[in-house]
Amino acid sequence: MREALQAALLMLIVLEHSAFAPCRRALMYSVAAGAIAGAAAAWSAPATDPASASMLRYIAEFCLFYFGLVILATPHMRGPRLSIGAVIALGLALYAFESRALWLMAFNSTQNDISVSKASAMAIAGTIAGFAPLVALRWHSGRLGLERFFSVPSAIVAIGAAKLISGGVGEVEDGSILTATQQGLHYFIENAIGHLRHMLMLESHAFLSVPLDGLFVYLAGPRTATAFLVIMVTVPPLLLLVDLFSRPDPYVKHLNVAAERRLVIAFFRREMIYKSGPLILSTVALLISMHAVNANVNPMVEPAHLPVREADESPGEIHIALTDKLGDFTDGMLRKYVYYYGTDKVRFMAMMKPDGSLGVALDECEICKPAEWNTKAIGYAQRGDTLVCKYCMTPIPVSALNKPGGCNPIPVSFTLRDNTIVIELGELLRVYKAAKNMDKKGTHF
Amino acid sequence: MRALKLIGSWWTAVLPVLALAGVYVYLAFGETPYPLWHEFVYLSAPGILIHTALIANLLAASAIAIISRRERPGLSAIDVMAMDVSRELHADAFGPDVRASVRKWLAERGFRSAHEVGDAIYARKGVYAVAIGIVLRVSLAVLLAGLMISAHTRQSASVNLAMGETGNPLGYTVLAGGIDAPLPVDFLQVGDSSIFRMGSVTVDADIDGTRIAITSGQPVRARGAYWRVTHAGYSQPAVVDGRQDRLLLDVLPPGGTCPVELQAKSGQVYTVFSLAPERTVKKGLLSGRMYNLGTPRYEISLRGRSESGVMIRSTESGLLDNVRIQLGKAEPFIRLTVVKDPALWAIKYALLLALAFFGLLLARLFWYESRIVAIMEGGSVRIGYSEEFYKKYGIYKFNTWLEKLEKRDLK
Repeated sequence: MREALQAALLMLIVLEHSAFAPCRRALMYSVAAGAIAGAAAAWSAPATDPASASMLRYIAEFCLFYFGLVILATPHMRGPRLSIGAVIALGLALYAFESRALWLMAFNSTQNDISVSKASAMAIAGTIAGFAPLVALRWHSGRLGLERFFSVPSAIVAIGAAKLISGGVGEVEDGSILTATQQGLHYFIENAIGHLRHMLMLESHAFLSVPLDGLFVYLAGPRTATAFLVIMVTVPPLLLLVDLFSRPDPYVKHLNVAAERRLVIAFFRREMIYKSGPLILSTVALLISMHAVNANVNPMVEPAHLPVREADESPGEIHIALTDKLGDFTDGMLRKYVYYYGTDKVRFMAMMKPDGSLGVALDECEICKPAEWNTKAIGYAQRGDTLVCKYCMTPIPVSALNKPGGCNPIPVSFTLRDNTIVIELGELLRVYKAAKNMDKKGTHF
Repeated sequence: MRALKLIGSWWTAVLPVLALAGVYVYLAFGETPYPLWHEFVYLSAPGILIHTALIANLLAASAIAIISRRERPGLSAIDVMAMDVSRELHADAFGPDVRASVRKWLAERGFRSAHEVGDAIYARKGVYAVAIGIVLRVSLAVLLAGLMISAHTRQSASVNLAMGETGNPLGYTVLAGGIDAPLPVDFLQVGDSSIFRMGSVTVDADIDGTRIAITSGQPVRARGAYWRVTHAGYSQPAVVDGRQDRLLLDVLPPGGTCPVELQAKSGQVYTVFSLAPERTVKKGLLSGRMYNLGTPRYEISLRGRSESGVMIRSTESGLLDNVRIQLGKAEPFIRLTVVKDPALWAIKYALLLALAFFGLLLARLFWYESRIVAIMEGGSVRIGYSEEFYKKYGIYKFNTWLEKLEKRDLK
């Protein structure tokens, strides 16, 4: 139902725009054809490589996104046949892939003792439920007149942006189109830079210093690809905005009444603001969704807190082995622990710093005080070679572990004995109680 | 001119790029699209055609930019009315000497070099701003052409040389004179990943009678080719069961291994050489391994039998499975790579130029062409104004100028 509802909302933009009036039937038939084609594709070839199917969807959605620019650049080519052809392609792109994914889910559910008829009925019911609001709106209300908010190019770009942000069926496909595009761009740029280095006889080497190596490594890194992706997704709506705002005010010198002149200009500018709304919204939404791409490039890692207790052989001490079945501290990964002190949970963490020394600290700092119920904001996570406070998202270099103050985690003293971290329980509890009594900044979260 | 405009148009630029992108997307359904795409672009007929179209487009667009800047703007009333904005003013607004007043008024607006043609006066600002785009397009065209030429004509070869040795890459006779490879006597390797970095390696080479210093830095040009040191290792003289040999040991960085076949009395002996640390150092959690790279110590074992290893330092001897191995003084060997590529210099400088002028493109936000034309006809002056960018702002600016002019006249 979710995907059908999304397709219905996007169809609304086209159906309620006067420029597409001759193509309304074509759109509705093409969406229906897309739904049927998707279902047929799912039932006839359920084993199709998911990566290939996703690639086709990505191609269709990017073509849709950029088609708005093509329309802007070629206004003289907007004949009726081209418009209907474009609308048919739009209708197919709006729902064919989602329909295929939906019927794949239905097909897969029949493997779990659900009958074919029941699975099909559920899929059809969901589709109808998703499109139902659109039908009801068209049946009962007057025309919405969306041409005040959308020009033809901006309607296409807005629909394309919506598909880029939320296209696909999450249960069947993993990863968003933007993340996959970033990875694809990274692969291309990495290889292109490698080729360029080969042409310039400056290939990278395991131990010889190569001129400009740092620059090439940076350019071939994921951040360059992310930068290109940001440009790719923001150029179409921004170009349309530039085109919109570069239109000169209407000529009003021939109007003798000043109030009439002001009215014409005000009306023109108001229309401009209305039309810029969807474009600005699309740009902002795309930039926000880039955050997901960035998070995938540099993921935050937070291990679960392992419960620890006093060492049997040394009461009053907590022992943490540097090497155990969970791994070796030399991997540089953050490790978290919890000691249950009555009803209190004393959370602390330990890891090896880049210089080879160890760091042990409470899983909190002297400043932030997230509410107990806000578990997602408590403590630190690791992102590369930084620790990130999950409450204020301040990155702390790992080398700052063991150093007190500010956003640094509160250090806990320890000793190293026979490849084991030894923490005095009394010291741990003293630091914990002192931290609890600190006058930290509160929060309404 | 029509053909030039067609070749230099935006569509002629966009369509080839889209074609290349489309081919890449098609190949991306497979495993490794980039090498296949590279082959398509540079070695297949359609790829070469698309490449050539792009180069032609860039050059044609530059030519159009130059021609259009040299052309005089249209000076008829229709041309003036076709500009971004135009207005007709009464000649009285300019006083008795209309021409002089118009020139003065233009100069006050920054149009200092005005030209008179009959009853028209025209002036332009920022004409040379287009030079940034022209240089960028030409350098990109040269870069693309260079890459294409290089793909079809490039020859390369490598040769390993120790001091005093001669090699013949690509038909050149190269004699390696002194080799300067900074190999420290105390290198501490900490952690599993190698942190060994060698400074610049230099070889004094004689290439067909031309003496030149070749480094591991930027390639140097000699005898029509480009030379660079691309690898280094140890050239280890050895006596194996009385038989003289010279072993090229590719054991850097420390931790690396090198398979070597030794000719012993009993036949071929397949061994593996690696650098052995002098001692192990513990620092915190980490173990460091100290190596003497100046006079290296090797761990030599039989291939497939790592437990059979023996440690022998250079200038010393040892026994490996009844094979006596006597090592001489280790010296560095270098791998010299030579490339004959008529387009390499063009690629290098075109790339630098393209990057520099790509950055300079930002200046186009502030530096762009504007033109103004005034036609004196009867008792009126028709003035037209156009800007290359920010047309809406230009129209507003022009209207403000004329309003001020008219108010001045009223005064």
